[in-house]
Amino acid sequence: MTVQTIAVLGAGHGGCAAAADLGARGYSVRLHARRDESLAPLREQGGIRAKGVQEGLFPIDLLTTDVAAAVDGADLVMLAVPSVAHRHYAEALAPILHPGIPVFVNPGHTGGGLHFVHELRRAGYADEIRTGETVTLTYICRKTGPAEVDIFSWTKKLKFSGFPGKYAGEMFALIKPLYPEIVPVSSVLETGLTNINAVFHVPGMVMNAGWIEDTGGDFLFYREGITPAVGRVTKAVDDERLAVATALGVPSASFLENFHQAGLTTRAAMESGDISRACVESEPNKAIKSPPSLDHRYMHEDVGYGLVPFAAFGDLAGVDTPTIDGLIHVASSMMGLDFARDGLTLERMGLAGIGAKDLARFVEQGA
Amino acid sequence: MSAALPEGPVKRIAIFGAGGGGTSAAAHLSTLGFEIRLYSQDQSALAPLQEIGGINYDAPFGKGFAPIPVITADAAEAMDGAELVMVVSPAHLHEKWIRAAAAHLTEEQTLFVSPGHTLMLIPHVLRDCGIENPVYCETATLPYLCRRTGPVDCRISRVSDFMVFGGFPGKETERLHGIVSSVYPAVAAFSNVLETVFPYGNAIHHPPAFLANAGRVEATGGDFRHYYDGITPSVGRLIDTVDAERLLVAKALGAKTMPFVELFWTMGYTTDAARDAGIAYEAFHQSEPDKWIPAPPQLEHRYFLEDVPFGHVIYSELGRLAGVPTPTIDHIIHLASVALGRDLRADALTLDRMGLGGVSKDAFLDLLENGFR
Repeated sequence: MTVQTIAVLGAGHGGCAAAADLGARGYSVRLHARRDESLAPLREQGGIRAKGVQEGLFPIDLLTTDVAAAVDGADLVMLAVPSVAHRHYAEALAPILHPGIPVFVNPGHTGGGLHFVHELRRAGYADEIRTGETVTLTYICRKTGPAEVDIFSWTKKLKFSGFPGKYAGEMFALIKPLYPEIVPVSSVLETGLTNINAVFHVPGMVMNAGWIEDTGGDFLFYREGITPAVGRVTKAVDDERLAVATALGVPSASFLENFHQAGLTTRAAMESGDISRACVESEPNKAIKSPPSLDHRYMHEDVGYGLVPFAAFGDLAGVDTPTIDGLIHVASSMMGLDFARDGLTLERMGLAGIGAKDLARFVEQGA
Repeated sequence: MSAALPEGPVKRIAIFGAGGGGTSAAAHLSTLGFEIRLYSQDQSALAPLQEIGGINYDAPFGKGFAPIPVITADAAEAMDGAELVMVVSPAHLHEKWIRAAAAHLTEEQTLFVSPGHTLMLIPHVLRDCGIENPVYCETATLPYLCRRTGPVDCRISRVSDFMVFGGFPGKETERLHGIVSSVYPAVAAFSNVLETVFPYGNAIHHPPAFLANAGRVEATGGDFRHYYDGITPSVGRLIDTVDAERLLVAKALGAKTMPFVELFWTMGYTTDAARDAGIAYEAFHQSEPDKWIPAPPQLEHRYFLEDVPFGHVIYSELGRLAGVPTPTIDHIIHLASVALGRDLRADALTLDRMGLGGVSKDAFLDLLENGFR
């Protein structure tokens, strides 16, 4: 089977980039958003205007707020929404999906596919399901207006996995033509535990919370915000993450190795072992500003759908994660939220009652 | 300076510590007519004072020179004939000063530590020095907002008009209050030295505020106003969470204490409107005295180095003793340790260090009230 028709769910940065890029490359795209206000500007303009790796106005075959209409006849569903919306989409898709329509969770962050499938089952879907996921979005992009998107590049050497693992090869073959940069890895545990955004975004936010709120984020997040102390906390988070991965037998590289491999810092900075230096000296990230407030995906997504599942995997593996737990707790207190309760717990990933020794089987078989 | 000695039970006072607090106390109490003997182990701090025989002060009660008849590195000389021995030092030096004083302390002398808030550390050290039934008293806070501005100069910007005061054993508090209040009328008698631990405000708000501004401190060298700019609504919420845990620990141990905002208002640091709002963000944002205070230039600073090991850690330890969880406080201790690259619990004021390892809550409360029997 090859993919020709794609239902892209979500009309944010990722959804708009995918609709423009895939449309430009000859795929038939249906774009779904929950609110028609997100789609009306596209309808009026006759498509999405893109800059960057694709330039021009790209018409979209269907713009709809009806999930069933978007999915009907599609070869692939691409879920390009924030993690917090996965449950909503699982519930909407449960009555519509069938084994012939695989789902690509773009991105899955940590545990995205596990969570989506768990919610789908809870919503009554009982058939076979095939999902694939990348750890981050397949694009470096930004939506610059209601119907405009800048696509700076495709994300390079992007780790890809599938759940259940037994179909991962099939899913990889299906998605590879769409995104030639994807690289297959062992399982969703490996993509999930390689979520390095969660590793440094949260220390950067929590330890600069006062600065962010006082100035509306008027400083450079990497160059100024990741100081030696923030680097030390980031390193502790990274060490805990690696200890969890090791205990679960999941291959994983350090933050610095990932950061270097992604082309974000020099070999010398990586070899120094100094995360602060690697961030301060990151050439591609040097102009990136801080988020304007704590009410941002660096907290909502990277705590709730990053650190919380890291800690959950730590529980499952019997590995202590005191720094990760501390950041989850302090971030919750600052924001008046309860990330540990509302984020991706073992239960929400469908892993309640599954021991460390059964984890590999569950991830492979999906049951 | 008046020629006649004061009427009350105290005439001569030995002051231990020649930093900002010690020199300010020496100047202030000297102007009130007490005979002051100033002691320090730091000869470089003493030498300039010895040379001019006193200290220059700039204070709300005037500006001038306060003669100090005895300025010495000899504890016995400083304490000889003093009715009151007053220790004025950061908490991490308490043990050192108490050991220096213990050998010369007589039963007639009153030992007064200001600020104290180190719970059972001082009685434990005194016992270790051979005093079987130690008696002492303390305040939660320093009597002054002050600084030593030069080798022979101190500046006092405010003399406190309210200090929580407690004695050990608690049954001695009233008697000890009678003595100390003749020197500092602003001391308010609380039950015991547990009730002087909880109102130590810096321990409540410095660690969370410093953690939440750690990046900015390092990136700018502290080029912002610590309270006014640094304590934003989210940082204030973190402080409020810490305070709620502190209040639960105090309650479980039967210690009366005020919510932080109430305390801050009582000490005259914020507005009625902020008190009514009841949240730390408003308390600091509306604090005129604190508004211009700059952030420290680096993280190696007492906001972490003193207020975590002698503040947050005590709350955490008391929580453990009382069976009350203190998750936010515990997480802040851990994150501050990781941020600094060393374990702030290692040299902290733990139950073990105060001789309370394995002591039950009831035995602890009995000890506080009745002392060693």
